Amino acid sequence: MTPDELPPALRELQDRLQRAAQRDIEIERRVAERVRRGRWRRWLLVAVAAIVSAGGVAVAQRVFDRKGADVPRDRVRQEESPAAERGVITTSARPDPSGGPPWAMRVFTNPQGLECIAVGRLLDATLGAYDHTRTFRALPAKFAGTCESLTRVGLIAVAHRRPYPEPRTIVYGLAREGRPVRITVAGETRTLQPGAFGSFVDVRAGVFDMAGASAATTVDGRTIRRRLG
Amino acid sequence: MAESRSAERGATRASLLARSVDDAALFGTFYEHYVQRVSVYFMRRVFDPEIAFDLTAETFALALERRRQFRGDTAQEEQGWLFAIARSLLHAYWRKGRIERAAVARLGIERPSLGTEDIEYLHRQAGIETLRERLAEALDAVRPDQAAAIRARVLEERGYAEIAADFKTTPDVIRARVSRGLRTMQALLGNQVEDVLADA
Repeated sequence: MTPDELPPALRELQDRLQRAAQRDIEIERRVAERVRRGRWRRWLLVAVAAIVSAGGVAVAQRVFDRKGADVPRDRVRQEESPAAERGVITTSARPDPSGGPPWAMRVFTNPQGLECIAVGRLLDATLGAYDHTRTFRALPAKFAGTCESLTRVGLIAVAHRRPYPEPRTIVYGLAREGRPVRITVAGETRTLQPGAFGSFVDVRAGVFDMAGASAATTVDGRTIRRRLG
Repeated sequence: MAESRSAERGATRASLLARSVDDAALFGTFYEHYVQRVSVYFMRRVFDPEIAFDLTAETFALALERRRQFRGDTAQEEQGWLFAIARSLLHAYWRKGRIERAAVARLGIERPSLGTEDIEYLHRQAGIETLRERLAEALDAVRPDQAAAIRARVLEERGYAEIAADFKTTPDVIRARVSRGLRTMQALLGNQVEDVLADA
């Protein structure tokens, strides 16, 4: 049958259907084109992201994530006692002013029953430290800490000064009653709210003269002040 | 024309529908090949040019929308596929009493108005005049209210609104009576109207 044999309405319907088909083909072509362009854009994005992230990871590893052997035991300071158990308090983590792994505390009890504390950078749930080559070295499992009787003193506070890789002054400790701890270093006082087990960590950029530095809290209704210098 | 259609039917030409995916003109050709058979199919079942025309338009609109889903390669396969759509629309019309026009609307196709020439063409192609006697006999087998609605609509060719006013009801009720009555008559007239595909 030819269109000429069709009556007007059926012929008109044919024209309208054919125009609709043309629109449909055009839409399909545009969609396919957009999908093709989208694929290219996606691949381009993936490639750029891969290059950027690979570069970023490489730099980050160079700056922060190099790992080496554990800290040798012969470098453990004499006044520190060996740890009886591991007890990293991740909630004590505080950021470093330059970024990278945060600073956190390890708390444990030594064989004599004293509370011991150590501080370090927390990387992959491991407490460690960076050496002068920016290599992260985990603190040994038997690493020591500073030990005292928290029951007797009410507040344990230790200042740790590290000249490398970046100069830092870290004050950390335990407050028996978990009340706010005021830390004064070089005339600047900060008040910290202790976390789990009364732990607190204060990180400052720079290595300060600790003369006159102190940490103070309230225990049994009295103010306990510990000299850090 | 009948000879050429028979020749086409016997031929193993490639499916126009399948090729129309990327060629709008081929969809026009596909329409030319089947529009007479499809409109006759509907006319012999609904006896109403307006309804048959709407169902024809919706059938081709759906075929256009779904042609990418067609998996056949031959003319026979595309014909079977097209009439499956037509049958489905017809049954929906009988069941609901109204015509589905969703695909026509989605495609933004404005419905052409039927003129005298179109109506005569549809009657002629479907052989409605020769069916009228049989139609009148078949009406006896239909419920009285449905038969009255069909008589007014199909034989007297009056509008739904006018019939509804006479029967003190709504046009929708009249449409439902007509479609359901026609469905019943289909069973009686089946031998005469089921041969559309064989005739084509």
